Amino acid sequence: MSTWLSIFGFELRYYLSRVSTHVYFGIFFLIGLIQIAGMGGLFPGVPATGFGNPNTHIDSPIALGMLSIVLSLFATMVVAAVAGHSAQRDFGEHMHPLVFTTPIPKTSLLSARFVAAWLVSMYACFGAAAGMSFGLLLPVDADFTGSFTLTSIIVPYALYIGPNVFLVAALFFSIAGITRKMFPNYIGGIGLLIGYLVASELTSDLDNKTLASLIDPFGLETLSQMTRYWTPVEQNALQLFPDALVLANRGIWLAVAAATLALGFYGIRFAETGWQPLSRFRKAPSETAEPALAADAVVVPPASRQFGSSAALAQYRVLTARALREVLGNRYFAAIVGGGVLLLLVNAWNIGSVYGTTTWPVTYVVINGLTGAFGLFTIIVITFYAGDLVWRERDLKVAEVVDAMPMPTWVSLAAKVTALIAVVFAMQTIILVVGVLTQLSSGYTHFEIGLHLTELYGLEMLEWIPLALLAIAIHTVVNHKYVAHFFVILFFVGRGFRGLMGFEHNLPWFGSSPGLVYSDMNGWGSFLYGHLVFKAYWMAWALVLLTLSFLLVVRGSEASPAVRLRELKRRLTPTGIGALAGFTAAAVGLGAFIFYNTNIVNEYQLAEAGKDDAATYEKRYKADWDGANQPRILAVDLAVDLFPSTGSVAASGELTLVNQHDSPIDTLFIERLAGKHIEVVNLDPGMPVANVTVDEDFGVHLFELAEPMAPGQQATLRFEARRSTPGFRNSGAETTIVGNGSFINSGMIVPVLGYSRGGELSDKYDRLARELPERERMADLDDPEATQNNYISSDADWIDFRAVVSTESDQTAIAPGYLLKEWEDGGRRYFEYEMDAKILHFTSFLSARYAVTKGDWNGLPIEIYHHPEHDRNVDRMIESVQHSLDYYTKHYGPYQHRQVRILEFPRYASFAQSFPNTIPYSESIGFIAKVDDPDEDVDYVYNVTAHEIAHQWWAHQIVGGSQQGATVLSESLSEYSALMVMQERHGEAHIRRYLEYSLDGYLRGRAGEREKELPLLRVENQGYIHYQKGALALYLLQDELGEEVVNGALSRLLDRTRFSGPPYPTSRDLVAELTAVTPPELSYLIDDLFEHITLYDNRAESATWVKTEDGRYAVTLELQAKKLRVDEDGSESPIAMADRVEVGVFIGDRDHPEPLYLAKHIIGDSTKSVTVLVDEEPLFAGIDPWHKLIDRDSDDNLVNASEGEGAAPSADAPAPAIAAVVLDEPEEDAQVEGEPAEDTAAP
Amino acid sequence: MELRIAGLSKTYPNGVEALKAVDLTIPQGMFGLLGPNGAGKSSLMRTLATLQEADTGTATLGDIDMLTDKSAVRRTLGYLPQEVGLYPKISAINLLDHFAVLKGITDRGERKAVTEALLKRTNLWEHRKKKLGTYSGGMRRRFGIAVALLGDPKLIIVDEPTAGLDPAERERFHNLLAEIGESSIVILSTHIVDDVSNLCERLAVLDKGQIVLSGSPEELVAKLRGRLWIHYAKRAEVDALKQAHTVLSTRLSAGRTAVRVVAAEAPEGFEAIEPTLEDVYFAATTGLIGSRA
Repeated sequence: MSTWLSIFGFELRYYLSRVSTHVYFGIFFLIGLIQIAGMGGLFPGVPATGFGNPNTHIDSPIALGMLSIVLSLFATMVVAAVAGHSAQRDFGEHMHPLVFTTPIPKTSLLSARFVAAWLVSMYACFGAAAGMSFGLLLPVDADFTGSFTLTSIIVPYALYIGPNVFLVAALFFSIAGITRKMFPNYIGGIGLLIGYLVASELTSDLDNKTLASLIDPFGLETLSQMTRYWTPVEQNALQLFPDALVLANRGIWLAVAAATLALGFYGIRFAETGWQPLSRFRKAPSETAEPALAADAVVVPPASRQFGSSAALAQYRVLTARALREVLGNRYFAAIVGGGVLLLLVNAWNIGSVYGTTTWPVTYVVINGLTGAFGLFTIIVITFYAGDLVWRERDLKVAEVVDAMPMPTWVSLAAKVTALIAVVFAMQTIILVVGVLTQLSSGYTHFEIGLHLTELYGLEMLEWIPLALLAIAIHTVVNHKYVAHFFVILFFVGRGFRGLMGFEHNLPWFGSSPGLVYSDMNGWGSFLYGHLVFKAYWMAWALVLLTLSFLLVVRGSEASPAVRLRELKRRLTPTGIGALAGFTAAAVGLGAFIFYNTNIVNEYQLAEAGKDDAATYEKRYKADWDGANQPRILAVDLAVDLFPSTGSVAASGELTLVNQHDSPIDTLFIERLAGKHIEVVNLDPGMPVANVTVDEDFGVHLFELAEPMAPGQQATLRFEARRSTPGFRNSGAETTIVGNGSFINSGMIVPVLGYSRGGELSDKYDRLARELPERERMADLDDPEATQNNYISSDADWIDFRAVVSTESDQTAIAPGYLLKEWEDGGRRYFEYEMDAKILHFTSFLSARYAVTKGDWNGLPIEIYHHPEHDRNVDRMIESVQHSLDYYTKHYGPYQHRQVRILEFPRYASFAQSFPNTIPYSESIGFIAKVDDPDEDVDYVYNVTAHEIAHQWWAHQIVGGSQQGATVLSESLSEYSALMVMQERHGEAHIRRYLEYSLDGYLRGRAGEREKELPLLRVENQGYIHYQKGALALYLLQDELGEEVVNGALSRLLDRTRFSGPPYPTSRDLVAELTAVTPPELSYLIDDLFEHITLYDNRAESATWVKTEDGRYAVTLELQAKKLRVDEDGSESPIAMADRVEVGVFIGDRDHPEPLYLAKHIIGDSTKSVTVLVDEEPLFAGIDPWHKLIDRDSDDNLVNASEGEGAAPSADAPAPAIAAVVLDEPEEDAQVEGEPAEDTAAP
Repeated sequence: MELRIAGLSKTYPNGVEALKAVDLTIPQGMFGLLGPNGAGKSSLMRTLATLQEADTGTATLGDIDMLTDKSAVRRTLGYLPQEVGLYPKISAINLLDHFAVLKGITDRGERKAVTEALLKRTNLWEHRKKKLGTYSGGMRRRFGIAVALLGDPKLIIVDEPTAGLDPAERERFHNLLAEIGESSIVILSTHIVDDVSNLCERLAVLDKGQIVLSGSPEELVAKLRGRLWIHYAKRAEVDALKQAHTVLSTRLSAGRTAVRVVAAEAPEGFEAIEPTLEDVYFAATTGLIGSRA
C-alpha cells in the first residue's frame, strides 16, 4: 500500500508541477465564466438570456449541470492527453526498460497512475464549476439567478462527469498503454463522439428514445430525455437526481469502463514489445540476410537533370502523390472516415424525418442531411492532417534529406496543400456514394447527379478549401505542432461561441457567410450571389495566408525568428511580393464590396438594435394612437406586379375606407412598410389633406384632414409602392420575391391603418431593458374592446377583394378569388382575380413555373399547383381535400368557395397557410413526404392538407377576436378536424401515433415556455397549446362525448357566429357550445381541458393474473393515479380525481398491441388496483394505454403481466358508457364477470 | 574544384557558439572531419548542406557562394544526415525513384537506369522491393548513400555514417564510401578515428567549434613523431604519472595501464612509440598540438 501511495503521490506531484495541468483548469474556468457571464448579461450590449429560457435561472441545477457536462465533453481532449500520457510516457521517453525492471507489481503501478490521471482530469473539469461559480459571484443580472445550491454542482459531477471522465480515461489509458502511441487515442475519442452523435440522431423518432438513452456513453441524451418535460419552474427547483433510465445508462457505461480498464491492465505488457493479440495471424517479417558486397562496382549511368518549372511541376506531382498516400494509407484516417461513414448511415436511415415519417430523399435533403453529419469528420480530418502533413518529413526524420533536395521551396508546401484538399475532395465522394445509395434504397430514382456534383465538389469545397488553407497556414507559421493544433481547435470551437458574445457580422469570422438554402423549386435562388462573394473573399484571405506560409515556411534545421526573417527577406522576390499584394488587395477589395452590400446597400442591424427600433416606435406612437379611431377597410382592389428575376414587386391599389365610428376622424394614421428599398410613389387618402407628417423611420404617415371624416363617410385610399432587393445581406437572402416560387402576403405591400400593436416587444426583459412598461402578450379573454378586431388584421373586418397580378411570361401568378381574365402584355402575363364572398383582409400572391394537377369534389374543382418534379403526393393531397370537404360539409356546414387551390412554394419557410380558396404549401412539408405505410408512418401530408382545408371553416368562416383564446377557434379546431378526417381514412391506431407526438410536443412546449403557460381557453398564440394540447383535448372530448355530439356543438357554433364580427367570437363561445352537450358527470373534462392546466401522472405498477376455474384469466393491475393542477406561474398541486380512465390488457407486442380488454373505469387517486377478466393469457396491461390523457410520463403506463398466486379475485366493473363510446371488437369480447365489484373509485 | 570555408561562425539563439571562425579548404577526394560529440561537426555539415545559416564568414564551392546561392548548392549536393529516417511503408526502389525526381531527374527512362544502378552499387538490389521499415540500420545508411548519390553530386556530405553500425556493416560502408570519393568532394564527419584513417586523404579536427588541426594523416602523425612515449603502469601508479607528465591517454591493456605521454624527451621508464592518428586526435582535442583561438 505504501508503494502504491508513493507512486500515486509521485504521479500527482508530477502532474501538478506541469503547467499544462493548470492551463487546462484555466481554460475550463474561462469557458465556464464566459458561459455564465454571457447568459447573465455581463457582456456589454448582450442582454441576459437565462439558460435557454428567461425563466430558467442561470444557476439552476439544470443550467449548471448541463453546462458542466457539456464542457466535460470538451475535456475529452484533456483526458486523452493526461490518461494517454500517463500510460504511454515511459514508452515515449524510452524509459520503459528502466521502469519495468523495478520490482513494483504491474497492477500497483498502473492503478496508481490511472487513479492519479483520473483525479487530474477531474481537476481540469472542476475548472468549469469553479469558473461558473466565480461568474455567479460577479454582478450578473439578479432576475436570472436565485436557485444556487451546492447540490446542483455535486450531482452532475458525481453522476455524470466523474463516471464519464473515468470511462474516457479508462479507454485512453488502455489504448495508449497497449499501442504505446498517443495517436490512437484520438480515434478512441472519435468513437465516443460517434456514440453520442448516433444517440442524439436516434431520438428524433419517439420509438427510439429508450435505446438512445442507453447508448449515449456520456449520458447527456439520457439526461435530456429525463428532463425534457421539465418546466422552467421545475428546472429551477429540481436537482438532477437520476431516474431508472439514467441509472441504467450509468451502470452500463461504468461496466464498460471497468471492462476497458481491466483489458488495459491485462494488455499493457511490461516487456520490450507490446501486446500483439493478432501477432499469430501475421506473417513474421523475414530476416534480411546481408548479401555480400558485389566484387566490382557498378557504373552509374549519367542522367540529365532539370531544374526549371517543368521539373518543379514533376516534383510537385510526386510530392502530392506521396503526401496523399501518407494520409490515405494511414490507418487512423480509415478509422476517422469509417466513423464518419457509420454516422452517415445512421443519418441516411433517418433522413428528413417528421413525426417519425421520412421524406423522399430528394437531392437537397440527402446532401443537407449527410454533409451536416459528415462535416464534423471533415473538420477532424483537416485539423489532424494539416498538422500531420506539415510535420510529416520532420516526424519521419527525413526532413533534412528532402530540404536539401534541389527543388523550389514552394513545391513541398503546395503539394501538402493540394493533398489535404484532395483528401477532403475524396471524402465528398463518400457522401456522394452514400447519398446515391440512400436514394436508391428508398426507390428514389430521380438522380440529379449534376446537383450532387455541384453541391459536393463545388459549394462544399468552397467551404472547406479556405479552412484547409487556414489550418496549413497556422501550422506552417506557428511551426509548433501542438501549439498550432491548439490554435486550429480553438478556431473551430471559437466559431461556436461567437453568438454568445454578440458577434454577428460575418466579415471578421474566417470562413463564415450568409448561408445557402437550396430549393428544388428555386435552386440556390438569391442566396448564391452573396454566398459566392463571401467565399471569394475568404478564398482571397486564404491565399494571403498561403503566401505568408510560403514566405515563412521553415526549410532546414533552424527555426529561430531571426533566421526565418532572413529567409523571408530572401523569399520576397517580385513574384512573392506581387502575390502577397495581389491577394491582399483582392481580399480587402472584396471585403469592402461586402461591406458596401451588407451595410450600405442593405441595412445591417444587430438583433438588439432591431428591438431598440420596436421600442422607439412604441414610445413614439402608442400613447397617442393605440386604440385611436381610424377608418375601416371595406374593399381592397390591388394591382401587384411581380418581377421574379430581379426580386422586386410593384404594388398599387385602392382601399375603400369607411368611418364606422360615431365620431369624426380628423387625422389618419397610415403606416407604410419602412425600409431601405421601399419606395412610396404615391399615398393618397382620397380626402383633402391639410397637413401631412412623414416618419421615414417607420413609414408612418399622419394625414391631418382638411375636413374631418364624418361617421359613415367613405373614401378611397390610393397607394403605389415598389419594393426591391438589391445586393446581398450579412445573413439570409431575399425569400419572398424569388426566381421561381415567389410568395408574398398583403401585409407586405398594403398600407396599414392605425397603430400596430403586433410589432411591440413582448419579452419581459427586452421591455424592461428599454424602460417600457410590462404588458400582457394578448388582451384578456374578457376584454370587450378586444372583440372589436379579429386577430388577423386590425384595420378591416370582412372585405371585398379583387386583384390583378402580373408576372414574367413563363410563370403563373395566383391570388385569392376566381380567375376572371388572363392576358399578356409587354412580355408579361396578367391575371385578374375576384372574390365573390366576404373574406378576411389577409391575402397571398404567388408566382412560379407550375405544373397543375386537377381533381374535383362533386364538381368543385381542386387544383394543385406544384413544381413539375414534385408530383408524388399530389394525389394524396387531392384525396385529403375531397375527404375533408366531405367531412366538413357534412358536419360543419357549407364551404363558402367554389374552388380549392394548393400552391407549392419554396422551402424558405416550412408551413402551409390557408388563405381564402388558396393554400400556399411549402415544398419541404408535404410534397416530398414519403408515407409508405400508414400503419407505421404518420400520414402528415393527409393531415396538413386536412388541417388547412379545415381553416376554410375555422378562421375563414369564424375568426376570434384579437385576444386570448383566439387561436383555439382556428388552430385547435382545425387540428381536431384534421384528426377526424385522418381517423376515418387511416383508423384509430394511426391517430394514436399522431397523438403520441402531440403529447410529446405539448409537454416539451410547456417546458420551453418563455413567459407562462395558459389554459387552452386563454391560449396566447402558443403553438404547443393551440395545436398539440388542442388536439389532445378535443380528441378526448369526442372520445367521451361522441364524435357526433362534439361536431353538433361545433356546427351550432358556426351557425351562430359564421362571418360575424365585430364583435368577434371568443373561445368562451366554443366552450359554451361544448358545455351544453356535456353531461354533468363529465363536466370535469371542460374544466380540466379548457379552463385549467391539468396533468395526470398515471402509472401501472404491476399486472398479475391467475387462472379462474372456468379457464379464464383474472388480471389484477396495481395502479397509481394522480391528477395535478398547474398555476400560471408553473406551481403544481394535486387535486382529487375520480375520472374515466381507460384500462387495457393486451397480447401482441408493445408496438402492435392487441387488446384483450379495453374499457374505461372510474379511477381515483385512491384506486390501488383494478381486476378484469380476459379469455387469453395476457402479456401486458396498463392504464390509459393509448395516452388519451395528458400524462406527464406516458412511458410507465404499461407493465408486463406475470402469473400471480392465490385465488382469482372478482373483476371490477367498467364505468358505464357515456354517449356513444365505441369499443373495438376485442373489447366487446371481454366480458365482465360476476356481481358488480366493490366500488374502487374514490369520490 | 575546391570547397573553401573562411571565417565561418555560428552562434545559436541559446548562446552556444557552434562554429568559431572556421577556415578550411577541402579539395576533391575524401575529407574527414573529426571531432568529439558537440564539437560543431553537424553544425558545419548542415551549414554546408544549406540547412542552416551562418552568422559570418564565407563558403564557396568552386564559384558557388554556398551561403547565399543555396539552390545552386542543392543541385550539386548529396547529403546523408546523421539521423536518417525514411518512409517506412514504401519500397526502396519507389522511394529512390521519388527522390530522383526531387533531384531533377525527370526523364523516366534515365531515372530507372540511375536508380537501378545505385541500388546495385549500394548492394540493395536484392531488397529493392522490401519496405524500408524492414531495413536494418546499415541498409538504411546505404540507401541514404544511394539517395545522396542521385544526380551525380560534386559535393557529398556524410554526417556520422557509421555510428551504431556493427563492424561488418561498417566495413561495407567504408568500401562504398571509398569508391565514391574518387570523383567528388566527400566530407565525412565522424568521431571515430578509424573511419578517417581508413578512408581519408585529408582531414581536419574540429573541437569546440574550431579547426584545431588539418592536413593529411601523414602530416599530422608527423607532428607527434618523436614526442610520444609509452609506459605500462600498475593502476595505483597512474595518478602519480598524471601528476608528473603530460598524459595523452591511458588505456587498460592486459591488466596494466598503458600510459602515453607527450614530451620532448623520453621520461624515465617510458619508451618511444610510433604515433597513430588517434594519438594525434587526442593531442589535438586536449590542446597539446594544433592551433586554437
